[in-house]
Amino acid sequence: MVFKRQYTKYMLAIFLAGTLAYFLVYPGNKSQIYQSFKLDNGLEVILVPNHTVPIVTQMIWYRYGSANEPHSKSGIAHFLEHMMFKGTDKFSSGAFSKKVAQKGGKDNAFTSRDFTAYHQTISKENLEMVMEMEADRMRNLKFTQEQFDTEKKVILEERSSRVDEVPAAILSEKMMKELFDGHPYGIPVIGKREEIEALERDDAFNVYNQAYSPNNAILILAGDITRKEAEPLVKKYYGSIPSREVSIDKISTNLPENNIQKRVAYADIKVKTPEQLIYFMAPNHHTRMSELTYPTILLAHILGSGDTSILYQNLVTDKKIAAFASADYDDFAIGPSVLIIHGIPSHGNKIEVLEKAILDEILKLTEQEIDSETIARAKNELIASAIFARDGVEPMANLFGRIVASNIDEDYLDKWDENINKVTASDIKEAANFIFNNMPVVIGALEVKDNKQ
Amino acid sequence: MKKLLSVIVILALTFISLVLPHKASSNEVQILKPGNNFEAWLIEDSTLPIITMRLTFKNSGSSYDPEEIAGISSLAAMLLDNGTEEMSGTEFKRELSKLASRYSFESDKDNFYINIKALSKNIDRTLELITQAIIKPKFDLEDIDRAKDQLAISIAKKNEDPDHLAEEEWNKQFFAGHPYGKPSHGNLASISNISKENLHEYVNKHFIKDNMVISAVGNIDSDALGDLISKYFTLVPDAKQNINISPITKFESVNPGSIHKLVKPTAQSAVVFGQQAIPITDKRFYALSILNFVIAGGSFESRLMQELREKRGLVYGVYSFVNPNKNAPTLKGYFATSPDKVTQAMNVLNDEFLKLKNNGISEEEFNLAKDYTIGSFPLRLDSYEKLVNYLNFMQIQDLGADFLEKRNERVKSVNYEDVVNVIDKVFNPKAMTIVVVGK
Repeated sequence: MVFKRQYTKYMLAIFLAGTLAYFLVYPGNKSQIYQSFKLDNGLEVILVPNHTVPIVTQMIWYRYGSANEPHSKSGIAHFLEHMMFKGTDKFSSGAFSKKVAQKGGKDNAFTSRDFTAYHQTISKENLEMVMEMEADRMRNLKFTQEQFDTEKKVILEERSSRVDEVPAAILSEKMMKELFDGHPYGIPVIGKREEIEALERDDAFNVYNQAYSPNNAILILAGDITRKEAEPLVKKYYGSIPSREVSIDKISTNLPENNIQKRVAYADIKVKTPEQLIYFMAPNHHTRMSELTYPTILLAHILGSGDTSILYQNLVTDKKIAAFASADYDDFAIGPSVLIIHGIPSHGNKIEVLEKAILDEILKLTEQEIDSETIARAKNELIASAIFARDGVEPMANLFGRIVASNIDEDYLDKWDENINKVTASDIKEAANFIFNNMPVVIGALEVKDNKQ
Repeated sequence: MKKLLSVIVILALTFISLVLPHKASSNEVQILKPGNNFEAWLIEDSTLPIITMRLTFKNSGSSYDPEEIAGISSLAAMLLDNGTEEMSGTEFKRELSKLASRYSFESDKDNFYINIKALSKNIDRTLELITQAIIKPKFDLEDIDRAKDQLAISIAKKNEDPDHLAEEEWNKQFFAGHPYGKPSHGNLASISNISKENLHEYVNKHFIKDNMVISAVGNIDSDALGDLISKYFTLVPDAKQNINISPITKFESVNPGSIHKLVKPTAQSAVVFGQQAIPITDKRFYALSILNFVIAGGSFESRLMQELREKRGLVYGVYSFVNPNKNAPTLKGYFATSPDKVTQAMNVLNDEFLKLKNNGISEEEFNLAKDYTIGSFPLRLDSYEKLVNYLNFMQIQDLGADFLEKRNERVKSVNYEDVVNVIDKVFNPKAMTIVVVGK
């Protein structure tokens, strides 16, 4: 059963260490979910109170991810993320993590296409300590050439583990390159190996100086904290950091006006059984046809979420062409989104047969409306997922950060139920038509490589 | 979760003089005994309108799979939601989907688990459906064939991953001759042997009240939970007189230490190292836990993280764990590196182990590790889901209902000499079983 969750692998090209959590949403009325304010230096602050446990998550999100990297410097956003743990004059290398550990806290960071985020979860009375250190490294980062060189080796090992070792991740990287031809989303978040190898210390500082400033950051504080407690602390530690002129090229939100179909095949000696991956470019909040965002969330859910979905029911249970089949869509992106379909042929079935069957199912969705019972069930599940998502402090901080850092309205969660509920069968059909008939698609095949070849 | 966790946390964090007024301390573990052969433990909390449950059938994991049909517990986990005597698989799944209830079935080496997450208003019907699946599952031939294929493909996919290969090989070598050494999901031949009758036998034999452990956290009181249990869970049969499950025997390693290489076409070499340890019931357990933190227990401060990653850039990560299982406690670790660096990394590992064995740890390392072990406990319990899993673990390992309070008292009572003693008597680098998977 664990297998069904492995789809995260295929998202590697999109998220390096983030979670796939478009459905993790917090319901309720606005005042109960969050409060926001802005410092004079431009720092956006969002509070997500949850007083159930006396712990707090602090997350700082910089609006700079792999999609913002200079030409031929792929991987530098992620590289800088690693270097941020190398210390300042005040806190030497490793001191940050050590102080957090001493208090029983957790700290980590991750990089995606659109942002880089740093976070700590710790008992409430230690919030001030982590805030002081996080604010300090926003402007006082120091590291040596030697530290940079050693970290490069670590990152190359990380690339090996996450990508080069995982055939599906290699395929996914190749497919993203084809789908986002010429768009920065086509470049892997962790970077191309040869470009990581060529990165220099100054490249990291250039990004740091260009992007790490309060007016290009979002601070999320979730957990057992009130605005009255938070505001003085935030002002004390972050308020004194001057804003800077930040000039980062905008990521194109342009959805191509074509429906080009490309194919990518990747064969690997490790692969024992073939897999099918299909990536359709898809609209979201920022692209044209943004009104199709919520219909697409429902479309993907009905098409491929769980054993009751169309793909699983028809291809796995009924026709027995596939052993596994699923679909996924993430509306959190600054550039265009991707609707992903994944399938594994059942024993004795060829990947070509599976591909045809998937495309047939898709075609049906563009021609016929989905029945109301299925839509009602999907809405119910999506709305309930918002309630389940409240179980935990750090996941909520993460979710809020992703919303705001993806330039989505901060009241996304307040309006979730309403936006899901108003989607009609004809909206879903329209979304299917737009995506499946008008958007570029890359059809990927992971193939078994014969030893003798 | 307000009330409940504050209790734990106050107990856990008195050292930092946490003051939490207005948080009632009424939230202890409530124990329900609906019969004489099983219990349900409940932590009631009304913050969220949801209920999380974990239902365990002990002595039902892969170690109990008969050799010729190894993998049956995994296969049963994949098949349980495929309908009941009254309902087709599709109807069953749609019914739970309508309720927006989430569930999963899984097995490990020892046990079979059922995880449930439901909106409070839907818990009754959810449990009715789930218990029907446990008591009278359908096991259609068509579904069995599909699940066998899925299981075979899952195994093939897992075998693409060197970490997984190293883990399985380590179990095989370390637990040689013991049921824990068997692959968790069986092999292609044993899976194909499994029949419909075998599956029904598995369910009849293992899904009995005597094996059942129920844990619940969330928006339900003990009366309501008690009602649901008598309505549904008392339908689970009692132990059969003619069927005996002999519990897995304790494993005692006699391995004098060994290195095993498995050649596979992987991009990196994966290394797993480990030795026999002590169970959570041993009074020295938290001294070992503190030692584990110093070795590679999850922090950048750990020795192996410093030596392998921070100083030399040989690995992205290195982690060590203490498995507290009462039958087979282990101290075990893992890293992966490029094939051309694996020799150097192994040498560093060896040097660090010898240094630790001969010179021990510093007071500073001890204090950091101890403070972390105490202070991080609340973070392990900060959601219903984490809490219900921990509660279930407490029940399975017979730790007692007051363990949530006792746990940090035990950690606090560990002193430096206890760790010295554990390094002397338990930590034994010479007896490490090491597996390297790579080119």
